[in-house]
Amino acid sequence: MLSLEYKPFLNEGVDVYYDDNNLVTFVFLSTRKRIQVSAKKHLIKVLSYFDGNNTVEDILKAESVEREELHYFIQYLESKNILIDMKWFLKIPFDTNYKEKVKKQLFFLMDMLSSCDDVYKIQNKIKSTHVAIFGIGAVGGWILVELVKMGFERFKIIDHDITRSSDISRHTFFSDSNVGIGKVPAIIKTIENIDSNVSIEGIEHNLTTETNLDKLIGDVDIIINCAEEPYIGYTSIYLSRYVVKNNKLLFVAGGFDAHLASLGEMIVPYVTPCSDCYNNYFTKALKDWKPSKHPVEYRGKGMGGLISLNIFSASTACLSILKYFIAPDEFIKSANGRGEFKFDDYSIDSFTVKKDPGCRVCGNG
Amino acid sequence: MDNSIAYRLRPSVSIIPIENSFYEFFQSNTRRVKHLKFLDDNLINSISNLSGESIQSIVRTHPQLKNELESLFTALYNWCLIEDTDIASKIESHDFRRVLNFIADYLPSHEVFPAFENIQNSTVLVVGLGGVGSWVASGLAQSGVKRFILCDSDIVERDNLNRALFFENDVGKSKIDVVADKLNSLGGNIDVIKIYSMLEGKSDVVRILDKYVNIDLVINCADYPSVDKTSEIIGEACMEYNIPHVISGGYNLHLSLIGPTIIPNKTACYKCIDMELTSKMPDDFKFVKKLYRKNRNIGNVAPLAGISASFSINEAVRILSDNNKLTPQMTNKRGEFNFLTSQVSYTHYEKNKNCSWCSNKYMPEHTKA
Repeated sequence: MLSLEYKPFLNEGVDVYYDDNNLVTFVFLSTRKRIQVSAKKHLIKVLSYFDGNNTVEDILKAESVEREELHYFIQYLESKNILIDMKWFLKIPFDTNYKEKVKKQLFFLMDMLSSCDDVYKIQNKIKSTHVAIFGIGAVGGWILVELVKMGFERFKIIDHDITRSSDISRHTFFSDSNVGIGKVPAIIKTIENIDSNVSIEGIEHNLTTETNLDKLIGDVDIIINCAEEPYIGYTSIYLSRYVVKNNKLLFVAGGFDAHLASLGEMIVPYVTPCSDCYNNYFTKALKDWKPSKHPVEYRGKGMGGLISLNIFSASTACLSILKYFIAPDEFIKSANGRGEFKFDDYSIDSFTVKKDPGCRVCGNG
Repeated sequence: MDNSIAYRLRPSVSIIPIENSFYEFFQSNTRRVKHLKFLDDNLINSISNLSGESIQSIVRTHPQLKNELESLFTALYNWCLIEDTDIASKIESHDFRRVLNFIADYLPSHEVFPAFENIQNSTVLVVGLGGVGSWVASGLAQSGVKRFILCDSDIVERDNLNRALFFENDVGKSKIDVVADKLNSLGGNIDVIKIYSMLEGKSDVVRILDKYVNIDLVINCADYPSVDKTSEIIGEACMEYNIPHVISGGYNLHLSLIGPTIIPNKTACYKCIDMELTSKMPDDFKFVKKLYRKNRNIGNVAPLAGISASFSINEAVRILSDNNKLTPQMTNKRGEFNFLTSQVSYTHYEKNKNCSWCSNKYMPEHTKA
């Protein structure tokens, strides 16, 4: 039987609704999961005591409820993670500074996972994962900021470009005083100021298919490709073949040309399609789609973009990474394909791309 | 159309031969597509090779096609597939060329700079500088907006760092000051008016709208005491003053809610939507009560705040351009971004004839400064 000193505590991420017909609905805010139960009126009344301040004894004194039925009610709610251990947050063994910084995310994870141990496990994985970002401009810079916010602390950033005045409309780190300075040193200077626990190794290098990746990547766990030059299709294939061979993760982000607000794709070797699978698919799908030679020779300065679309692409990239960290198997089930957000009507065009069994890189071909 | 003006195929537009004389025109910035049939190869060739020629100069080679060329150029220009090369070169040398080239997917060349100037000369009131509001303010400055009124009473705390634009060394400073510093660091003389207070009732909003008469857009990113409450007081005041307003989402109890955008007297207002929500509620739900709990800690993550901010910035750019070819997309609807599926879904609403905010009150048209 429940101890009289026990203080039931409603999961803060769960909304509780009730009506006159004794129907109670619990809604998990992060996942929108709903649990509906029929409960006697006096038990519904008891719900308002579950704030972590009232003991079972207090409740029994204040309301006309039997100890046994309260016991079963509490046990049921605990089994559904509607009641949780109030002290779960205190039990997570991060240092106070880190824990306070990612507090809201830990609550979010708790809503999703309902287990203090799992929350710690995932956040700790985030904290210790080594991330490399190729291309630290429009989308890469935003991804870096969001990952720092999510509690990632170890980065390697690779870019060879300098900050230009026209980057005002796309770089999160843009500041007037950085114009003319390399993007890599400018970002390192900024990040060191803004989060002392984050370590960033900067490499001023232009990724090409000649780059020695073994040396460059080292103990990195996940590579994020935002390098649109020479062409993201080529650099992604080069990086994808490397991760397939070395069993690391790759995320190919959007943010360029016709993919300004692309949701990007996560590549998990032998599990999701690799960049060669994507390339094989789109080569076939677009075999009759051949643009004529463009009459304007230098088209770069004629391309458009909005910072809101960079933020969207970076955010969906970070969301994918977070979802993969939370539940890799669940994530992979939904990770077959590409999505393009359309500014025109705010819809998302989705293309399903499956792992190519004949792929010469990750298949049996 | 002036036959002596030089045009070029827009660099972001591709022409793809399909079949049977059909050609696809693909705007790569926005992925919009137009299919056109060309009955004369000389016409499609003149467009495929267009890099600074005028109608006049092409007519010299193909005098028999004068009428066709004139109507073709007019159509392609209005569909934003070809552009005036003089204006294009002004865009290319502009710091905001990416924004200009982007809105040029919707606006023919001569309308691009006027629309961008509308954006630059607008005044935007951002209420609430948390996970969404702080990014909305900086994102709008990075889209060209130069005048801001920021309203927030909070100081930065450590648990804001996981999603708002604040970082470790901002803890303890006022949110407004940090955001204002960020806006100023961009260069370009951005004006910021700071209102260090919390809006608790409609009269607080009215006081601001009375004092600063040039506000073109209000974006609500405030969630205290609740999104519903702040949307209600801001919504009602903006209806009285005929000011477009965007209800941003993405925080606390509305993790991934997007919109609506409200253009007073033209689209459903907050009250219209609220009335429709109540009337559509199943009968057995009308008696449902929500268990009240104070001081709840509710989770949130950076990417969801970023996605909400992204939608609000899109809407603001559309509204502030003040051009009927670039109208807001979140009017008469609300959206929800699904964390689990990364899909977005929308619910549509209509203006309600019996709405007390919409129907009875009429204020003179709010005019731009």
